[in-house]
Amino acid sequence: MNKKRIGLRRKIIGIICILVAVMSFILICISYKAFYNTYINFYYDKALGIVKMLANEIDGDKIVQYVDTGSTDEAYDALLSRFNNVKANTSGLSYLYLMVPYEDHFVYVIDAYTDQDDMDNISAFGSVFEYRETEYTYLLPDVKAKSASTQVVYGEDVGFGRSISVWAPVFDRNGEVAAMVEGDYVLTRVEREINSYVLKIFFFIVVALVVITAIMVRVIDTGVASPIIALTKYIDSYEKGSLTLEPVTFKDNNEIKWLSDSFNNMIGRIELYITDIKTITAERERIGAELNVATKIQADMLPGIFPAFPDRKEFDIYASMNPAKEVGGDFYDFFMVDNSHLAIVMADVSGKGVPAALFMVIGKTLIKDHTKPGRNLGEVFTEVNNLLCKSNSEGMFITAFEGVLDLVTGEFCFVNAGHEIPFLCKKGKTYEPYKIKAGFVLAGLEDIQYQCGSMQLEIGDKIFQYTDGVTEAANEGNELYGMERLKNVLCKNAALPPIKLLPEIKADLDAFVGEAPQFDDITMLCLEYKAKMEC
Amino acid sequence: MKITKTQNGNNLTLALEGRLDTSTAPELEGMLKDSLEGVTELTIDMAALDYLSSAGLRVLLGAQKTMNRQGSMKVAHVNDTIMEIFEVTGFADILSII
Repeated sequence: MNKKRIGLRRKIIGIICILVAVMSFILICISYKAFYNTYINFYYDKALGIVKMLANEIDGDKIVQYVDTGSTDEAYDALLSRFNNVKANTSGLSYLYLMVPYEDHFVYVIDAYTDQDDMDNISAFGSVFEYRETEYTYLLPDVKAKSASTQVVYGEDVGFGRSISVWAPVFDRNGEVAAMVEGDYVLTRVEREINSYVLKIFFFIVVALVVITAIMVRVIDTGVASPIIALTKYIDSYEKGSLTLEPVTFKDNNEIKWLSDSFNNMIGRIELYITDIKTITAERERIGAELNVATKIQADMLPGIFPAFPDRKEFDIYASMNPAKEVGGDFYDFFMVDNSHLAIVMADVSGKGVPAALFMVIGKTLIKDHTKPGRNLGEVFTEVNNLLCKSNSEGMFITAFEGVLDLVTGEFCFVNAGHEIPFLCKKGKTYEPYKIKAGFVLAGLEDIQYQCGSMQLEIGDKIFQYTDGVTEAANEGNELYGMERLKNVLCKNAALPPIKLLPEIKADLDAFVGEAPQFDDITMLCLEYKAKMEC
Repeated sequence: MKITKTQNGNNLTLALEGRLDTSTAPELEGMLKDSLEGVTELTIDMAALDYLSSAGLRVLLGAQKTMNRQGSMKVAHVNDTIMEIFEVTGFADILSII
């Protein structure tokens, strides 16, 4: 949390500092440039004024005469002291001299000096100065144009710092240029003034930078960082499970207040959801626990102890039921109708889960109750159907197959209410579907008349009955298990007794289905007629 | 599953496409409940139906019972797979399959 806080502050402050620094740099550059030009122009004008003033005071013819004769007079001395005076009274003038320009050199007439000057640097009357590039470029064109300096000319640094040069022509009586007055103005002082000005600006900017940064830090702290930290603490406390802190409130109606409001609203909603989820979870756990009990009750309802009739040598029976959900709609049943008759039932209630399971209980009970010794199975189903129709507001139905084996004679009577046909395996042969006409499903329509059929079983014959959960089990490619696969696995294991046959089929089915989920209950039953009952 | 509904006066045709099983049967049941009012002739077209489970049969039976009271119901274009289911379950006897 602290790390984040420093990060945010640092980032914002860093950005502000960089921006202000860049801005001040630009500002300093611009103002330096602007002031420099202004100052230079100012001093240029001032220096030019001085040389022009001097040039106007001088008689050009006299100067020509001095140079021509090589001798001077009193007027020259007066002029020299005038020059020395001006130089002494004008700060910044490094040189002030009067000369006669020629094509490639000029001749000094006067080179003013003051007490501070080193006389070695002062040129004597008549000294010759060979033109350099500056003179060719700037001085000579002005001489020819009979003009004073027209632009700022930077002279070479001869030990006084950078300087600018100005000049003005002295005319003879014919109006020709007799001589030039030139002054070199040292910029050291000018530059010092500019630098001191820029330094002041720089200082001001630094102060401003510090003040702005301090203000921003304060604004970030009170306006952003502190509220966010308070909000974070509040959220953390909620996350840890105890909402002990008071909700954070803000005076300013800004983004952080909106965030805080949103969060408070969210907590309200979360609290509601948590309550809901708690209720739902409790409910679900309760239902789950009840379903577990229901699964057990349903499993207990189906005869599940094998061998089911250990003292009976006449037949062998085995059955299994795997519900797709906790409770299923499939059921099998077998029971002794009387001492010599065994009934088997295989049924499938439409749909799955609790509704199907409840309906299954009714169906199973009714079928078992109505299967009485000597009673026609068609009549049993007709009556059961009518009873089921009366208590069937949900429009459910049951496909059911019931068969009763006479253990003495081997006669197998059966009735089919819309259920899959059984497989019959004659002794020593393979399983074949035994085609019987199906009646309508149970609980579908009232007053359906069911017809009973019968076949003769011999010793060693087996009957296999199942529900559509077997043939309609689908693999991941949505391919159905189907009758063909069922028939193949039955035939492959035709010699096995019922208790070994069913696990083989289940294993084959599981291998086929793979990881695909089970959609329907899988129920199978196999009966083997092993011996005739002695009367 | 896709259900295409065509109404022509009192005649209603529902064309089923795909699988009619536990997960899709409630959809058909809901549609029948909403649309059977005043219908005297209901046709269920199964030309494009791939699979029919017991849950689907239950809905068909419900529709048949409703139509027994207010008109008639036909089941059309039943393919071999579905026909086998109808025969095995005895529905072939109580539905008018054309």
